Amino acid sequence: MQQPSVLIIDDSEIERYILSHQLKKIGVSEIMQQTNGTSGLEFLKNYLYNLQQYGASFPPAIIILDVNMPIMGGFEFLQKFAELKTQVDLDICQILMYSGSDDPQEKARALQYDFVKGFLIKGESSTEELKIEIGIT
Amino acid sequence: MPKRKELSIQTLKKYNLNNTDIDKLFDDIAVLAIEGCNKPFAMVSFIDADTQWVASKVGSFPNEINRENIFCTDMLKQTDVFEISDTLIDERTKLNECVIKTPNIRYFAGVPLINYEQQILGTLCVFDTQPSLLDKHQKSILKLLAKDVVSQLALRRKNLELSKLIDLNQMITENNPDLIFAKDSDYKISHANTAFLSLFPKEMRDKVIGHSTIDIYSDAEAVTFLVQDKLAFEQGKAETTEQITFPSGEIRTLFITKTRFEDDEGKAYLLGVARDVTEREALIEKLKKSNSDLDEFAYIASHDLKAPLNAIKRLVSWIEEDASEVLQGDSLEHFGMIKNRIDRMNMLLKDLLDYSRIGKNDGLPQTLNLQETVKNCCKSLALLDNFIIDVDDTDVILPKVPFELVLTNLISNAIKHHDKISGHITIKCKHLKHDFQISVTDDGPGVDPSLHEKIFMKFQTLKPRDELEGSGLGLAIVEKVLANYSGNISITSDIGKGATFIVTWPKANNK
Repeated sequence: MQQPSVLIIDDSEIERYILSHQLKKIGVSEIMQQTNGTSGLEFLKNYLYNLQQYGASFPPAIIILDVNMPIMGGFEFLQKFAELKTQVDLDICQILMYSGSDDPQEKARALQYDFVKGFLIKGESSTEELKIEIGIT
Repeated sequence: MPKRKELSIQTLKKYNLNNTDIDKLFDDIAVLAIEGCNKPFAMVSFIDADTQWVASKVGSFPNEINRENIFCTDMLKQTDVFEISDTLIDERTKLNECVIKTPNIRYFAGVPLINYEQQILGTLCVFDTQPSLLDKHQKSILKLLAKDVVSQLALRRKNLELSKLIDLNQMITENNPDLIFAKDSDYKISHANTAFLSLFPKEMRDKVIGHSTIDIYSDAEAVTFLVQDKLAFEQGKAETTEQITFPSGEIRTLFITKTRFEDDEGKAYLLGVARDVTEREALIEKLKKSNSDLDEFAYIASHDLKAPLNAIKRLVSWIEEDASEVLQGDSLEHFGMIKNRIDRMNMLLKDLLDYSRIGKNDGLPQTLNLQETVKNCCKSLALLDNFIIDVDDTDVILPKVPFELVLTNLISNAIKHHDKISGHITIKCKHLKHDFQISVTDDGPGVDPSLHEKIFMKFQTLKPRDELEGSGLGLAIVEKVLANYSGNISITSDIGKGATFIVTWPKANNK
């Protein structure tokens, strides 16, 4: 079965490295990376170009989104993403929040968006958990 | 009856009798005594510890008897009218100078002047050169007049006390650093103390009383004053803390209380008391800022430290996995030590975060089932199956996040500090009139009463870190949460008898 493609949006190099490492372990081969909300958004807006570049892997089935980032944080990204969805076809994308905080209010706020399917806490989510959240069986 | 010794100069001083105007003070009464008793002479005299002096004497009285009036001395033993009908017959007087020589007094009657404290201040007496007797009517006139003297004296005393009180009040007002003033209903200053006046430049000071000072303030300030004045006139009282530009140009923060009062004619006034709280307010501001800075710092520091720590943990565990075949002996142990220290630091950072987050986004009080809440709390704890937790089935109305934080820490403590592998925890809730009282009781080793104070201190643990994992922040977190809601926590415990932590959490005001 074809594994889903994943876009990681996180400003921390080590977090991106750890995530990629975990993803590769569970068989995800198509991994895209962006370093903040703005560049992540630009990446999705560049629809046609990326469609050519990545083929069937674009748009990514899973976006793993950090909350605390410079320039544009995770929550602002969610808002902008909801707007963008009305313009381009991003229905396939599902977002997994990837936060350094276990603040339940932050979690509830993120899960209000129907395209947000999970809330992972950095450092506490195991590879197994990641596998389940992404939906690899 | 008091002895004469009790009377002292101090007593008479209370009546302001040492004054020279006293000589003629009771002349009218002496005249009335002469007329009412139909006798040629009358006298009002006062006695203190050593001397007797005459305040008023009326009639052709010889001067010589002024000071040495033995008749009066005898009289001090009784309270009613004392009468000697013939001084030449009476044993006590027949040899007296005044009797055998001029003016040849043959008759004497007197009434003691007794104040409300039952002290004899002096006498009112009438004299005659003939033997005589007072009839019943005359005696009561004499007694009435004596009573009048005493009333006048009492009034004098009250006046004196009052004027001293006024002096004292004046002194208090003048020396009070608060600005004290009174305004009439036209908003004109009718009274101002030194502190208030000294706000104004010297040349203006005599133009404060009787004037409205409104025009020296900016329009905005003047409007606020007038609004407050009106409010105080209408409601009887008004209080504000305001920034005011003084006539000197200085800007100060004042706490002002305005209270309405009425003078004897029923005219309304405002009494204003303004306290300069500039320094206090500035300090409070500063403290608030530095407190929130500190919380902010703790939050950011613990948050930012967590991410790299988690990355380290992850990477270390991967190395351990990848190298599992090569790792042996010391190296394996070292890996364990690294992971253990990472976990410890993680816990410390988590508690620090919790601590700094207290009071932020706590949410509103909501109905929470105690059993459900405890279940939630236990999810985040590595709870051992052999710990039984009994919880009252009851509802509380409290903010969810801080309440869970408190319970989680107390339950975690009960388990963490338990000396056996299994135990029993009881969580009860009493619904007091104003508070929820939640108690967490364990059957663990208990806490020595001498340490009860210490356990609430930050970073305080009772055992070395290597023996018991803990940040030392647990109870400090609980205490800070409760302080935020004006609640408190106490402990009852003794060695070997388990411990009960009692949380008192005020119910939110249902307006």
